[in-house]
Amino acid sequence: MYKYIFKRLIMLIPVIIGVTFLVYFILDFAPGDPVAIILGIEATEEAIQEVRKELGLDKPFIIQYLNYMAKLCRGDLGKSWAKSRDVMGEIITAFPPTITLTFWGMLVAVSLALPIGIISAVYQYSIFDNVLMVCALLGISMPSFWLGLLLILTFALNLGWVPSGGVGSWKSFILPSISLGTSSMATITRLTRSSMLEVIRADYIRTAKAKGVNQKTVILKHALRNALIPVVTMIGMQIGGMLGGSVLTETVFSIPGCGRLLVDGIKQKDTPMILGCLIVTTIIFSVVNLFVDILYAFIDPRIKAEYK
Amino acid sequence: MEAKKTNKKRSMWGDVLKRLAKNRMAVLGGIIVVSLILIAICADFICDYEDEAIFQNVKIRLEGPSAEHILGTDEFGRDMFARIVHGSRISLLVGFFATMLAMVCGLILGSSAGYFGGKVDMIIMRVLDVFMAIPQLLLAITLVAAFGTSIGCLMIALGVSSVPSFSRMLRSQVITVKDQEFIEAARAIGAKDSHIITTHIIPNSLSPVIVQVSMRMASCILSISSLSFIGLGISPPTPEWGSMLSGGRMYLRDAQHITLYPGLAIMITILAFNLLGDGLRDALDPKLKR
Repeated sequence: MYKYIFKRLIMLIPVIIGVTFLVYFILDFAPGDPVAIILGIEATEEAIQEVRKELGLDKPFIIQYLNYMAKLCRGDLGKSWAKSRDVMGEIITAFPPTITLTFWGMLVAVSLALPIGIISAVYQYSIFDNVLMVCALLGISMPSFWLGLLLILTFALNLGWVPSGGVGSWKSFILPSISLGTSSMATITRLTRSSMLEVIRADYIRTAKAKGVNQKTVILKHALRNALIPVVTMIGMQIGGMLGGSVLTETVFSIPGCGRLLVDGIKQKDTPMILGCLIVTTIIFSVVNLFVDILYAFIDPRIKAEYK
Repeated sequence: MEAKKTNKKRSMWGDVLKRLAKNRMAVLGGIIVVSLILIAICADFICDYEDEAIFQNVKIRLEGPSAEHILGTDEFGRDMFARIVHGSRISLLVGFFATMLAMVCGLILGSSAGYFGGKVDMIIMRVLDVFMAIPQLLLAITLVAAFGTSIGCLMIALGVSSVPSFSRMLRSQVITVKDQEFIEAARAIGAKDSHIITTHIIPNSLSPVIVQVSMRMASCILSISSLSFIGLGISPPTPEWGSMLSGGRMYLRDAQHITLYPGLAIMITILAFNLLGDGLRDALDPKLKR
């Protein structure tokens, strides 16, 4: 077991290096001269050269990247060009809302998707199943930002039950979590259902039923544990979708999170900020996927056995 | 020989179409998709672009639906219906080309990784792992931030961010196909790798690709409107559903129709492609063959 976790941890390193390199490489093409942004248009040639040197922009790309990585290892993401503040500090203050949002969104999605998916599969083609599957289809087709706006219109502006944005109290996270979680919920529901349907037809389920195990045990113990394997992978992937999707949700609900920071960074052509947000987000996503893979070993004893 | 070949091909696709036609939801999706394509092609005949979708008339701004403007007018007094009709062009165009780009790259990368295995497979998959480690929308945002927001760049950004999932799916499909006997037979009579891949492997791995294309169209259309919504996609005054929604946000309380209809347009489009994709998956599934 520890061997498996260790192996997965080792595999994480090249991915993180690859991701930082990829993002750094792509953003190297970003337009806009940082010096012009920092100093304004009327800067003298001398000042420009000085700032270029100070930022290390006179060195070749690969040296710049290595310098960046060396600083990253010490937790330093450089200085923002637009705000002349530490990128790391900005990200640390912006991350809690994003994480809270993703957490609640995921909780909303998983806690509803699993039971609905299981019940739909068990009562396949019943009215319950048909209605819920149509809902799920609408759920995956509905843009999250549009759903967010409709929720604001109904529950904040018309009914006045919850605030329409910001991060004032726990109440202000209700609508964003629903808006962010809905499409994942629909995706996970559909997958749980189809995965359960596949498993329910397997021979060992028939055997279990034949020997008189009651329905509940068959479904929850024999079928669900096997059906969960693809579902867990999907949940891991959905977390990435949510970290990306939070950009939209934060825009709709004016939440000062990492997504807003990223979008503002792009609009102000603030490359260190864009880089910082992307790198921190992808590192978190990779770590989450690592946890998902470790979780696998608990659900699927075959993996555990392989690394005994 | 030649005639026989085409005959056989037709019967296979005929079968699929027959099964697809039995699925009412898929037919509905198909009808909506075809109508959307027709609307996009005939947009200029339905409403004039310059006069109705672009021309601003502040005197009639934020008007609700009426006989003259069936979906009302937006914050600059432009006809919502005309803008939604013309908006379909961008969504479908960008969605289509992004999906095609992803499909072609995915076919090349996925089939070579799956077919050759070993080192080629390892290198391609490790590189794709890196791309997969970045959430898709964020990857698209990164590419847009670096290369700009012209329509061409958007197509490339959305296409590139869809390449990994296409390649992975194709790779696993190719791996199951390549060990079958007819591939061995082809190799035994001395067929070249490129010949085997293009005439045997790819056609036999195509059914999940077709399903994926339909689903990918849906997600690319969603991504383009998402990018426009946060101001990183198609910029105004070009009519685009996402940027229309973002413009309507300010007037949510007084003029809900500006927010309502473009969102509905996005949802119907995505729903149609998803229904079609679901239907295709069932129709192409050999297990469900009767």
